[in-house]
Formats: sequence, structure tokens, C-alpha cells
Amino acid sequence: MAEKFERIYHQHLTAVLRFATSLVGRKDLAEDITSNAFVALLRNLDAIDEEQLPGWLLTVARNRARDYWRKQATELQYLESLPRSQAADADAGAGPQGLLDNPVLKPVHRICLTLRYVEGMTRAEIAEFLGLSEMQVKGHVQYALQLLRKSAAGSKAS
Amino acid sequence: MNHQARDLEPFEREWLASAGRDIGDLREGRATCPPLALLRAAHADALPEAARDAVAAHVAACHSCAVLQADLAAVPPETEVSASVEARILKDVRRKQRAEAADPGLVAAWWSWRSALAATALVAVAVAIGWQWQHRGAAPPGPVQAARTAQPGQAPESTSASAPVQAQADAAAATLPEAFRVVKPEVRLTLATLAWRGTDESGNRYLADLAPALDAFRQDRYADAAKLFEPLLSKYPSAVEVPFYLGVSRLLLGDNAGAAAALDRAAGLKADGFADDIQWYRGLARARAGDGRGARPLFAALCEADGARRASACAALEALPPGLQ
Repeated sequence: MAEKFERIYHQHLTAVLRFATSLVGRKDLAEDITSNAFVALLRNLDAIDEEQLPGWLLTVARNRARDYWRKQATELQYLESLPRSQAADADAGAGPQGLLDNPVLKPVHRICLTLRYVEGMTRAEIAEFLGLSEMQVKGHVQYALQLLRKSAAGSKAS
Repeated sequence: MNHQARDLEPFEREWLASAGRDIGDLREGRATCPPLALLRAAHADALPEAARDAVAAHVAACHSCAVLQADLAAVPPETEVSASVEARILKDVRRKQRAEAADPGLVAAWWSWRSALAATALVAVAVAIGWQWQHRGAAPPGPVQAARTAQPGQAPESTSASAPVQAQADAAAATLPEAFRVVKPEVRLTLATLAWRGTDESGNRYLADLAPALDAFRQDRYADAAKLFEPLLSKYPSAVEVPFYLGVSRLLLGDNAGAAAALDRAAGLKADGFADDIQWYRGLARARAGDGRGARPLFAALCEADGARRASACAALEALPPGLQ
């Protein structure tokens, strides 16, 4: 039993931890959710069909994340004040030279730029939130700015 | 959102000076938008239902949120799991496992929980049933009578009984698995009831009779709510709201058997949008009463379907004792 658990643990830990990171954006919480998922696995080890993994573990992780968000009263109360029929902010960052619709930017570039310059996160905070390394974040930001400069220069030339 | 990152480098400041307008527009446009963490959690179905729906409604109307939510979904974490992280999480798993094994009230000792709390549960149910007997005019058992004697002049007996009943229910509930926690549903009416209202006097009378019970329910006065719902069962036998909210009230009072009876009755009526909720709370009533075999098919059906209760039902299935999944 212990061998079976350890094998499954090592096989699926990375997938579960990455998924948990995407759900809560915090390293400590993601690790807590991950360990809870494997505790649930231990509890049900005899009944689990391994073919259900890692899906079963990810479902447990999602449920734990939901429990976490349920307790975040501040964030959720904020949602109650959201305008449901907010007019589309078509000009906010849009247009060929803007962030949102610039075709030169890949999703990772756009997200890193938004987190960096709109939300004001440090590279370390972005790395934790996205589950990337700080070096990766720095690289994405630098490359994205190069792309935007080239795109702007190209537009001016034409 | 309107602050600069603390570790900006000179080339970044230089770029910001030239791109200030775009960034400013985006900041301003997003001033009333949900944080990116919520956008991402909503996309992964990791928010409570109401929050998820609120985010979805906002994203449907907000271009920047739609773009950024799609971007977040396209950037999965690439967390590298070092040996130290692996060891740390495994150590945490072992610690939690030992804690479960040491505490008979936790999930790993499900059967110990049942026997250890049987006496507490029996008292809670006896008080709740006693309250019901009181309502029907039959002689109640000791606890409710004692409460009446101790607090003469209290208006509905149920309120004098509600505090100890609630406390017993809370004590029993505190040791249940998280997956079996009863979350009070929002009060809503079926479409049939809403259509009925205003068409004739009987529809308006139903709503007038229902209103005090629903008010008590909203105000967490479950014993009063149950007392007010009860006579409406025979008066409006085909109205699903009555047995449904009666069942949930009893569940919140710790009367799992009474809850199951009311909710089973609701299940036999035209549900009109309540079907999944009825099934969910029926499963909870059985699971909390220790009837894992009865709860299993109810949770399994919801787990396999694509409804709002799917994730909760799958978690509840997982929390059932081994061998009953």
C-alpha cells in the first residue's frame, strides 16, 4: 500500500501542484491543496482505479480551491457590486498598438505585461501567480517589450 | 491596480513613459473588473456557484476580461517540483494523515465518529422530534417540556427549543467531513409558482402563506421555519418549495431523518429547476445520518451529470467510507 501510494504520489505530484497553482495563485495555498488531495487519495487508495488519475486528484484539488474561495469574503463581496451589463471597454488597451489586441503578443506576454504594469506586481509575485520562474517572467517581459517596440516602429515606418 | 511594481528597471520605466496612454487606458478600463485571480479561478470552475456566475456575466460583457481570461487559460503553470518541495508536501500529507487517524471525529475514522456521536445525535433528533410532537399536540419528550417549563411565556416553543437544538446540531456537524457541510441555499420560487402568482387568489394565498416560513428560513430561524412549513405540506401538496425548504431546515437543525423524509417528498413532485438541489440535499441527509449506501447513488448521479452540483457531489462521493463508492 505504501509503495503504491508513493509511486502515485511521485507520478502525479507535479500535475496536481501546477493545477492547484492555477486555481489559487499562491504557492503556500497550492501546496496545502495538493497535500489535501493526496491525503484524500490515501483515504481512498483501495477504491481508486489508477486510470482515474490524475483526474480524481484534480477534482479534489478543485473542490478544496472552491472551499478556499468561499472563505474569501472580501473578494467575493466585491463581485456583488460588479456591473453585470458593463459596456464593453472597447478602447481600453485595444487597437493595434494597444496591449489587448496587438497581434504580436502571445498570451504569456500579454499576461506578464498586464500583471506587471497594470496590476503593479513584482517579478517574484508574477512568478508565484503564474507558476513560472522569475527568470522566465523577466524574459517574457523583456521580449514582449521588444515586440511592442518593433511593432510601434513598423507602424511608424508604414 | 494603480500602483507601479516596486522593482521596475530603467528600460521598463523608459517604455512606460512611451506607452503610458495604453497602460493608463487599460488600468482605467479595468478599474471595476474582477482581479485576474478570480478570472482564472472562475474559468477553472473553482469558485462557488454564485461567484462563478457573477464573473461569467461580467466576462461576457467586458472585452479586456474576456481576453485576459483566455490568456490565463493559455498560460498553465510550469512549476518545477524540486526534491525539497516534494519532500515538504509529502511530510504534510503524513502529518495530516496522522491527525486524521488520531482524531475519531475526522473522516478517516468515519465509523468511530458515528458511534462516538450517536448519543449526541440522538439527543438532537429527540429534541427536534419532540418539537414536532409538540406542534401536533402529542405529548413531547422531556427536553422540550423542560424548555417550556424553564422559559414560560416564550412565544413559539420552537424558539425556546431552537437554541439547544441548533447547538447540538452544530456540535454534531463540527466533526463531519467538509464535503457533507450543509450550505443554506438561496430562497427562490419555481417558475410555476411565479406564474401562478397573480393569476388567481389561490396563487396569491400560497405566497402569503409561504412568506413567513421563507422569512424565518432566510433569518436562520430554522425551527420556526420548519414549524411554519409543516402545515403547508397538506395545504399545498403539489408545491415543491414547501417540502424542499422544510427538508433543508430540518437538515440544518440536525434532524437528518426528518430532512430525508421531507426531501424525498419533494423529489416526487414536479421540480421545475429544483431537481439537482433536492437530490443533493437528499444525499446530504443520508450521508449525515450515516447511511452511506443510501447517499451513494444520489451523489453518483449528480457527479456524472454536468450540473452545478457535480463537483460537490463528486467530493461527497469521495468522502463516503471506503467500499461504498
